[in-house]
Amino acid sequence: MGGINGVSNQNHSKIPEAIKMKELALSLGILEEDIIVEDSSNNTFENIHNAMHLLPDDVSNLLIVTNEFHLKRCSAIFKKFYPKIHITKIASKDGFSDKNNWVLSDNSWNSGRSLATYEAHLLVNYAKGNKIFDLEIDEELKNITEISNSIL
Amino acid sequence: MSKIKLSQIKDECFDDNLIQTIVYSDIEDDGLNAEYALVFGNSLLMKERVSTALDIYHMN
Repeated sequence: MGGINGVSNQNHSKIPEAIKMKELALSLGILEEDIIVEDSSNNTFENIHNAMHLLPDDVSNLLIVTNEFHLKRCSAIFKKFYPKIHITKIASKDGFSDKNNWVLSDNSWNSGRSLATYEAHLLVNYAKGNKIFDLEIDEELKNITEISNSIL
Repeated sequence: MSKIKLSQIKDECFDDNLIQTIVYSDIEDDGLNAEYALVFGNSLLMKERVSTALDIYHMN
């Protein structure tokens, strides 16, 4: 089992997120020798590259653990810069920014809707900035109304 | 079914359907076989992420 990585762009305390996450992991019973901390990045792009410097060169399989709205960008960065590494995506469900419930929230700060909307713009900007491959998406879009109605 | 590239999407085109497709399509996965797990930091969402990592850790 691997690392606890952190970014600090939303963290207003002086303690890096990665350190807080390590403390949380330790309190939950994860052994310290099973944790690698990357605490110098400011965004996902840096987080991945910095973390890869901390792992052995011959690593071939990785799990990535993050919220559903963040999985696409993380895996896309790996696909472009570390194509030989097999990535398994693990969604951390939070009940408000997940695939099936983000649309139910308003646009207030840190709501599921605001996180998903910001993430969509980030993905487009990452593609334009060559930070990920310029992915193709289906123009025939799934009707989000059906999704939200199905869980109400 | 026709396709569009991410870089071709204009700001004025963003709506719920498009956001759903851009952000949440192709994120399903299976299998847990890996040497390391990368848990991404977020000061507001770290509990959920570490908790998920803990479940995987104990499965291993």
